[in-house]
Amino acid sequence: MIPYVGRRLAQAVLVLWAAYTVTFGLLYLLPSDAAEIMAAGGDAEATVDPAALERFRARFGLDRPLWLQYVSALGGALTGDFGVSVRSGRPVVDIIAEAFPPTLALTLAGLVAGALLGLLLSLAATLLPDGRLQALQRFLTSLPALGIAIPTFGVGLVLLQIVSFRWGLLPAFGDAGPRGLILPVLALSLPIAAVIAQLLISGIHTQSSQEYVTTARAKGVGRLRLRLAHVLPNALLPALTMTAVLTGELLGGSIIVETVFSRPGLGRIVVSAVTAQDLPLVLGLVTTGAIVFVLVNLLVDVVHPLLDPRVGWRRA
Amino acid sequence: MPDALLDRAARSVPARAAALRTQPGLVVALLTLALVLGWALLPGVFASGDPLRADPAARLLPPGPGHWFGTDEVGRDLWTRVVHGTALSLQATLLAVGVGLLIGSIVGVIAGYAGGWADSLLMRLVDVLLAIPGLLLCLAVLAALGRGTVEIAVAVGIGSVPGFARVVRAEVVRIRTAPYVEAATASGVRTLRVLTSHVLPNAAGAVLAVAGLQIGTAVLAVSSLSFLGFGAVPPTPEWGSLVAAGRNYLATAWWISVLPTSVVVATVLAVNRVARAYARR
Repeated sequence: MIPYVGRRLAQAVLVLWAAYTVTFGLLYLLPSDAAEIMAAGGDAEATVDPAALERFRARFGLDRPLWLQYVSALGGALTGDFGVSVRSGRPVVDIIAEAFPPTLALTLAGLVAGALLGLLLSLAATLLPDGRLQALQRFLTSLPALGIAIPTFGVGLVLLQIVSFRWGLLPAFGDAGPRGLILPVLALSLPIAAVIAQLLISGIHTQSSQEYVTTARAKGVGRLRLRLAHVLPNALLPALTMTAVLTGELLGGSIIVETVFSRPGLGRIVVSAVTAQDLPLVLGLVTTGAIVFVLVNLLVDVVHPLLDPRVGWRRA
Repeated sequence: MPDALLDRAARSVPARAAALRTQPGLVVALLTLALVLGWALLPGVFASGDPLRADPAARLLPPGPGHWFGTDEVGRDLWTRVVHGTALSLQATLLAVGVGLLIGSIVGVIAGYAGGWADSLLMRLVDVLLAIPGLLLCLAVLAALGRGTVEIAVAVGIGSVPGFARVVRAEVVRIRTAPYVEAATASGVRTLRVLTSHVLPNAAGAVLAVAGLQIGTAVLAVSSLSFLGFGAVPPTPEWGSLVAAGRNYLATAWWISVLPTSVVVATVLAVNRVARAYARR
């Protein structure tokens, strides 16, 4: 087990380095002059005085060749120093560390809620007895396709409008403790739940026609027990891998949900950093997202063989 | 490929029409798409007014006979703004899919046809792009390029490169070893010609099916980014920015945000339905 985990860990570090490098390349190679857009602070019309631009370059080390900038930025990143924000002058790490906890809480709650809602929907859609409830079953099965088509901001706005403004049940804006978390988590998790439910429903249908199910039925296993104890565990494993992949979607969704509900967190920081074209801060934020994504996938990779003996630690 | 050709010829127009009759959902989806395309190409036919004309006497009117989608905070007709904003949203979507398709195809063809170290290197690079959460990758591109509809399209396009590259590579690897490609190579046809006249036409079907499914995803991504405020500059109507503009009036005038959102949802549902029917063909 230890060599397997070690190898996965080394891969994760390599992927993170590559993700950092690709993002650095995008940010500093795509614009015609990275220093100029940063000095202009995201205002495309603004013209920067040449002398001021030179001072700006010297202050942020942008007068050095790009490869040297990359090497020193990477060296800093490895020791936990992502430079300073161009706009506020504060260390990038401090800004992110401050805004990260609420976003992490929202993302994790969204992950758990999305997985649970997806599981519940797929069970409801497949456990109903055949016959009379066919129409309901077909309706439940078609729900995920609808959920996938609704943008996260749409879910959030409709929930806000109905639950907060029309019914006045839950607070609309800001961070008001656990009650304030309910609507944002719901908005974040519904699209995720749709994807998970879609995968689980098709998994349950595929598994149900397998021979072990026929055998179990022939031996007299009851309908409910058959579904929950025999079919479900096998259908859950692909959903577990998918859930890890969905972490990326969740992080993006958190940014949008935080904007919809005016919550503090990384969302506000990301949007203002991108607007101001504050490249060091954007680089730090994208790297943070990649770290969360890679860590969750690493965790699932390590846990997966424990749950499924067919996936050996020696393989892959 | 003679079987496929015969198969395609057998599916004549009346046969397809008959197949449609058994799928009412698909018919609705096709009609929805036709309507949205009509809005994009001939907005004046569906909404003759000026999308920028404000009428202070008609502020925040709810949906009704005079204003199908109601009016916004300065009295602009929302229906007119949604219809006239369609072209911009659709252009960005199609440009995004085009960028992803083009770059993804180039990467996929080189990786799949060259094989060896080029294949490993390119596909590792694609894996790395997948490790950066999609929206954050788009935002990084926007931070470098600045705001605007074209910039959003490029950002969303770059985000969809990994998906396209993987499908194209898989198709090219499958086709490369087919007897007719080996025969062409053996009889001295040059590599570029083998690719353009043998490999790409046969890969097109699967790749276009993925492109179709990508359209719905791109509509959502484009509208999300312009919702965050990186799209068209304010008075210009565009689906995502219309939704964002209505956020401040959600308590009193729900329609400003909710109706443009439902147009986005209807479009995505219709595109996905048609794309799935095409992929299952």
